[in-house]
Amino acid sequence: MFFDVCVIARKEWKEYVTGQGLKGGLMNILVTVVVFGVFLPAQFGSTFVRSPMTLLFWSWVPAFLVIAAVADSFAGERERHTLETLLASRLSDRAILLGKLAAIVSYGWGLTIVCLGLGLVSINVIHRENGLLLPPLGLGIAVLVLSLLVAVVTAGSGAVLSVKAGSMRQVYQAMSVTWMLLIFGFSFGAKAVMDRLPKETAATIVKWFRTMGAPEQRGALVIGAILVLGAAAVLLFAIAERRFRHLRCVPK
Amino acid sequence: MPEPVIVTKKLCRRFGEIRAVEDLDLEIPMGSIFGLLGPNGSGKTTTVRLLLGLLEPSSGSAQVLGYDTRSESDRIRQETGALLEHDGLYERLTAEDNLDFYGRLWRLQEPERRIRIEDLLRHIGLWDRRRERVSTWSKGMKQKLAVARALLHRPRLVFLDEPTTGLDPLAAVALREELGQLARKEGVTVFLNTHYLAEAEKLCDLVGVIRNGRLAAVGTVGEVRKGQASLEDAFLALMEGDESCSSTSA
Repeated sequence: MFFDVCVIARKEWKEYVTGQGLKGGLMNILVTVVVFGVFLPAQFGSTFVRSPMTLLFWSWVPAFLVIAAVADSFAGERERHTLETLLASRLSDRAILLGKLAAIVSYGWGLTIVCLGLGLVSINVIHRENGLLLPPLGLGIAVLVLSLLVAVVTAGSGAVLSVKAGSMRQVYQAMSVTWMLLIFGFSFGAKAVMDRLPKETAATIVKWFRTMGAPEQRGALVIGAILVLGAAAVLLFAIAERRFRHLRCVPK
Repeated sequence: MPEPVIVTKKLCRRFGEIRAVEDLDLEIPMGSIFGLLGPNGSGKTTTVRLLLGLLEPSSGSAQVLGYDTRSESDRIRQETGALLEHDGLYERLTAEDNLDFYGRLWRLQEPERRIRIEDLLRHIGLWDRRRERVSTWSKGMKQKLAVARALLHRPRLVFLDEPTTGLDPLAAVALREELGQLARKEGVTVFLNTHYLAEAEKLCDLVGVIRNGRLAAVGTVGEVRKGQASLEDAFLALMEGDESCSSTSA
């Protein structure tokens, strides 16, 4: 099983890198690394290593990278008529699914880690007069774990959508719109709701958020997020596997 | 008579009201090239999917290599090769990478895998072009590569679903010859779906004619001809009244 998962993941990686020709594939990766690893951290300044907001930013990056890969990997392969031949081979559904997810997550999360590392180097070079700038250990670990889980959840939801989607474009659009709604909907929606609430209620909510956001509460908040995302990842994998198994027996 | 590798009994598959395959009784001996002939939409592809366990039968049963298609389809897929309706090649990868991926997938070890890929690519005349991306190739070249992929792991039985469809006559003749040579050389049993009667006449030891999901005739080419001048005449006689057979060419 492990060997089969590796074979699938290896093929997927090969397609990412050489998909648009070796130069094109490497250029895509290079552009991503320069934007997320140099340009954006340079804009953030020292906030990049100190602010808890960094958590939100680095949780969004793997999702952005995973969306395109997951749409291509499942719906794209079906659209290109290569999935049926794969399903007619000796591989189990679970090996195919896990291999694809492993490749997608390692691509999205791996690139995020590379960008994160490069970002740290960039910040320290730009702000060298401030001495060595490193994030607090807890923040660093939280970023690594949460970004991994976001990559897994995004890949899982993409797999669930892809199995029944009509096309790769449909999956890509659905996932992009969902993420936009999550990000902007939360920002603008929360403000709109708060403006309409009675002042006392709004004040109580703000106070609760301030308490939760206090440094001594952040650990619990992060652990809560990890648990929720972990549970979502397990659930999505189970649904994806069920749908994928069904796919083998669905008339085309 | 050699032991049968495929046995179906009253095999049926319905999609709602449509009867794609109806009461199919087949026995295909080991080492033979069997051609399933029929016009488009007659149930050939559904039959292959049923035999590979990619579809559940509505009723009846089928055994492939001694395994039941309902309960042991994983075992069937482990021991067979298939070229389905589409070539299934990764167009963004090179020919060599395509075969290498499937070689790994079938667990061929490194020296053997490399030798086997070279042997097959040389045999089909594509060794010199192995590092080109498949997307740049002609349909005929892709089909040859897909046949090589189906035979890569030396399966005992291979399913080929209309391998020459869409090819120009020259490419079709070339692929047919390669296919015949490879099958004899490898000693593999071939289940070939086709609607090209000349292809079946030249390649197949046994043929079955399917019409509206039902087997209309089965036997050697001579037996199916039954005194008709050619297999085409016999086929047309069997298809009498079936308008879809106008899409079938000789």
